[in-house]
Amino acid sequence: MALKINKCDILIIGGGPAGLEAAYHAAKAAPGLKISIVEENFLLGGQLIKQTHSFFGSKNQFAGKRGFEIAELLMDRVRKNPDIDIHLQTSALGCYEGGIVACESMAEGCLKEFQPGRTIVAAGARENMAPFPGNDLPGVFGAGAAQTLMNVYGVLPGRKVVMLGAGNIGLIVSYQLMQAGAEVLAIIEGLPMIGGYHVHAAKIRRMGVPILASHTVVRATGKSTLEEVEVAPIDKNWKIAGESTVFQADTLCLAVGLTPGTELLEQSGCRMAFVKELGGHVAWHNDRMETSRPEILVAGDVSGIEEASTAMLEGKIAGLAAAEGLSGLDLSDEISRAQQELAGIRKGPYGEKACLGKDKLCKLSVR
Amino acid sequence: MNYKQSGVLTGEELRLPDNETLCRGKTIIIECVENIPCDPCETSCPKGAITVGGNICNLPKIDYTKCSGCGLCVAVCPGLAIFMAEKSPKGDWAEITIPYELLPHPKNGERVITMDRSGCDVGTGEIVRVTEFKKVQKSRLIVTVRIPAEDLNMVRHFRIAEGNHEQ
Ligand SMILES: Cc1cc2nc3c(=O)[nH]c(=O)nc-3n(C[C@H](O)[C@H](O)[C@H](O)COP(=O)(O)OP(=O)(O)OC[C@H]3O[C@@H](n4cnc5c(N)ncnc54)[C@H](O)[C@@H]3O)c2cc1C
Ligand code: SF4
Ligand code: SF4
Repeated sequence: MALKINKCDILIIGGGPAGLEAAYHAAKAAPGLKISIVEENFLLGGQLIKQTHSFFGSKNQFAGKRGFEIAELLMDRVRKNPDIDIHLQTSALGCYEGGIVACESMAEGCLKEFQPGRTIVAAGARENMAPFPGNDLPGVFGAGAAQTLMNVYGVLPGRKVVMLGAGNIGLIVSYQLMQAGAEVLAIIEGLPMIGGYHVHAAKIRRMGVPILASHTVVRATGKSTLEEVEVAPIDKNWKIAGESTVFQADTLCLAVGLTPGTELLEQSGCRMAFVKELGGHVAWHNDRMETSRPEILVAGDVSGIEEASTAMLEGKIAGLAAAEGLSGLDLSDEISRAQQELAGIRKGPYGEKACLGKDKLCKLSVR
Repeated sequence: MNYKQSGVLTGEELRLPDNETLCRGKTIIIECVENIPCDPCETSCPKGAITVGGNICNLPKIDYTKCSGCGLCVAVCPGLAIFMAEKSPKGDWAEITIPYELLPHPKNGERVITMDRSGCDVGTGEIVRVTEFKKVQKSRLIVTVRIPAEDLNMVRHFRIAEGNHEQ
């Protein structure tokens, strides 16, 4: 395979909201720095391109707009900047000595080597699996995968759906399945409480979809594809505590959390830490999104599972911190403004977990 | 069961406007009871009638004396948590305005089956107004349904009765 050497000052891995904002703000704050984004998908925007619901947050994070509209706005301002070049269908494979990053371009059929001064890893997260017999049957989907099928490719994953997980993703994807004409038979939640925002729960409840808290999926069965989902009540130790109900369903969506996609960070030798509140293993980082390796920064879900609004702000902070390090400009005012805005978003009860997680990280030493 | 278990708000969490306010004209009802980081209701209201305040996680508050009943906030709220209610002073009819994002689109004059916060049927109603604020929110209709006055605090959704809709 041919090898192309690419020069850039800042390399951004992942073109979701975190990566796009990192690129935009770094380029804006320090004109002249050359910035590259590598994105393994054939589209920029990360998770946002499949979000057809309108977003929370403040005006600065485009609240009230639908996710895919936000993606278009973010992409547009990145594309307009001549200092930013975009490599689609390009996966980062590894970060090596001297800051070298190796990528494979599916689009050009070649390897690309970058030697940036700073690398910002904004690779997002992946969906968790739930353990139960039959979870490998065709018809069992990650909720995010079902959402991609439906909203990016226009393919309805199924007609009769059971959703496992009443966090925001489970609630939102259920609503979108109903909008697309599927019937959501029930939303099953293991915890005694609905984890997502009440407003998301309310809009699916009033359409008549039941939410069964303190319940779990016992098994999924079917001859060659999913036909039945057995659901049972559980106690607080997650032991079966009553009779099962069987749903005749062709689709079971799993919305049981996300795990940061940290392979590149681990491989590059960044110090890792397990922080439950952030979704598992994450690279240690400070409030400027700098990791234990001075040339590597992180932003977005890869640094702890949160929201698009927080991913954008973390991206901005990482972009500014990287630009400051390379340009010698003093960007501390702008960085602290973004940090304050981020703290504001995390103030409510739904931000507590992230705050706790980020605090835990800060208390750990760098090495 | 509280609303975190059921997904349904009950009387205690809901501070519904009193009869006098409802009879005075279009009355905004905000069913947003958690401190979520969100404020488009505040930033988009042309009359400054909704306040979230400096902390974006505060609960929104409505000042009825400033509200013109334009319905923009119903179209903007990402949580679909804002409704608009009105009651005739004689109490012989009421109207509830609901954000609606489903197909097929309801049409003026159509009869619908009204539903409560848990999706149970309440009764019937008639669509009297269908508006769209395309500039602030695409693909969302703001639908006003005329219903019996006694249903006003219950009705938060509707469905188009089968066979009732001409394509
Ligand atoms: C169903 C659902 C509903 C949501 N609703 C909301 C909401 O209402 N409000 C809100 O604020 N947030 C919401 N979120 C969360 C939000 O979408 C994410 O938090 C946000 O997208 C995270 O941004 P990110 O840039 O960190 O990651 P992502 O958006 O996941 O982007 C990461 C990108 O990196 C690319 N990538 C990964 N690895 C590599 C590699 N090795 N090389 C090159 N590219 C790579 C991926 O292809 C992807 O495009 C929702 C999420 C889901 C799934
Ligand atoms: S109806 Fe109009 S004036 Fe009244 S609160 Fe909503 S946006 Fe403001
Ligand atoms: S816009 Fe809607 S969800 Fe957001 S704070 Fe206002 S009422 Fe609540």
